[in-house]
Parts: sequence; structure tokens; C-alpha cells
Amino acid sequence: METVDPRTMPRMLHVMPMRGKYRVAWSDGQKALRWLPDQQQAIRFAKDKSGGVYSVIVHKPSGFADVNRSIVISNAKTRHNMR
Amino acid sequence: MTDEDFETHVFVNCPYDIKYRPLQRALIFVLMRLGYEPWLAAQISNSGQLRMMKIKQQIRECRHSIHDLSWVISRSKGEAARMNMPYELGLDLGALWYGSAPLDTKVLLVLERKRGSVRTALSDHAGFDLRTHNGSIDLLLREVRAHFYAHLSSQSGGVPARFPSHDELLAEWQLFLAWLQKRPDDSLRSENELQAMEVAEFKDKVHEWLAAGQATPQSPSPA
Repeated sequence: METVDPRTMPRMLHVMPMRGKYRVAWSDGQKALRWLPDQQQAIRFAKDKSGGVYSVIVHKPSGFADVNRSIVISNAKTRHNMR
Repeated sequence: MTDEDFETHVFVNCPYDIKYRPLQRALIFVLMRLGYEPWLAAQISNSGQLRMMKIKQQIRECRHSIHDLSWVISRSKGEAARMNMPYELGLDLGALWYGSAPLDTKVLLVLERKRGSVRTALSDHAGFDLRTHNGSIDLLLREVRAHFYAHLSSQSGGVPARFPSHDELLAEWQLFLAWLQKRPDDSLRSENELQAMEVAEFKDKVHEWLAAGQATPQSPSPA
């Protein structure tokens, strides 16, 4: 299975379910941007924050990305080291 | 097989059904993230070797083992309860109780789905401390981490300073999956595609991600 080099993964915004809330954070973020009680609110916030430039990955409770709700943006400019 | 290999290898005895696969993948991930090397019978493809021989070898070569008995009770009418897991737990306990050094230092973690469910199906196992995951990956990560934290704290070296918190593990699991699901053409793979991946290949992907240093400290949960 071909994968992207993990060191050059594009920066992404993640909506992660945790402890009954939704954590919105950058893939290279040390801190959550925001904790929201509702998934729709969290997705809306992440979309606004991404400005249409960065991908928004919506995670299921199992951790897998929800293919139908996530918005993957192809943009070579966002490629950089996640660290 | 060195002493260090014996210390870090973990025999994983869990169901191989597709419905259990997300938990199996999370279990592999958390063990590798904590610095252990999980061993599953399914990762060796050799039609010329009996499955029991692979299992026997793994029990002998791993100090740690995780036995998930969450499927020993059938959940719907007509579904057969899985007896492989208690059978292999019995073999592992036999190695611990009757084996010579270093097998007599083995450390076991037994998981169940709901508290007390194993006691009903396997009453002879009563009195042992079991951990419960309720079929949730979040709880599974918490319980596995807690087990190894408790084990390390009782060892002379203690718990490493950079031992990840439960929140860090959960966030890293999700970041890892996002990377794994992302194709080079910028589309996302389905969950089913990842679940069909061979155990050996999945482990290679976890190694690749960890080697790239993608495990980063995350902020703690609210409240």
C-alpha cells in the first residue's frame, strides 16, 4: 500500500471525538484550537479555520477518518514537515 | 532471540474477525507506540506450519501477553462463542506456572468486554484481575497503557519520562490513521481497505510513522 512520506505530510485540521467532546487541532499542533460539544459545530469551526486551503479530517469514534465528511484538499503549498 | 527481545515482545491473543479488526489495529498501534513489539499468529504466513506451532513459539518468545476474551460469549442467536482465546490463555498460564526461567516471569493482561462477563463463561478464571474495554478503542488504549505503566513502575528502571498519556495516545492514533488513509493522490482510503491490510504490513506502517517521529505531545482533555 503506497503512502505519503510521513515527514512531508500536508498540514491538516482534525476534528477528533474525545471524552464526549470534539477536539479541533492541527496535525502538527501541540494544543487544541478548540473543544466543542457538537460535531457539526466542530466541523464548521474547522472549515472556517482551514480557509479552504487545508484539508479537514473528521474522525469517527474508532479513530478512522470519515471518508464522507472529511474534506481533502490537494495543495502542494501545504506540504511540509508535520513537526 | 535476546533477553531484550523477550522483554519487549508481546503475544497478542485476540479474535481475527473483521468486526474486531479496528480494536486489533489499535492494540497493535498502542503496543508499538509504547515501545513493545506485538506478535500475532496471523502475521506469519506459512501454510507448512501448524497454527498451534506458531502460537507455541510466540508464547515461548514473549514475556508479555494480551488475551482479549471479549468474544468468548456469543452476542446473537446462532453465533458460536470463540474458544481459541481461552485455550491460548490456558497455554500461556501453563508456561507461566510450569515453565522454567524466564517463562516464570511472564506478565499477562486479560481483557474482557464487560465487567464480569468472563466470570460467567470461565468461572475457573475467577479471582484474576481483568481489564474491560467495552468494545471501545478509547478504553482499550487507556487500559493497555495503564497495564504497562503499572508494570514499568514496579521495575527497577521505572516508567520512562516520555511515557505518553492516554490523551496523547488517542490523538496520535487518529493522526496515524489520517496519514495511513491518505493516498498520494490526495484521496482517502476507506476503513475497509485498511482493515483488510495484512498484520505484517500494518506493523510496517506503524514502524514507518514512528520512525519519522510523528508522535507528538498533545494537549490534555478539557475539564
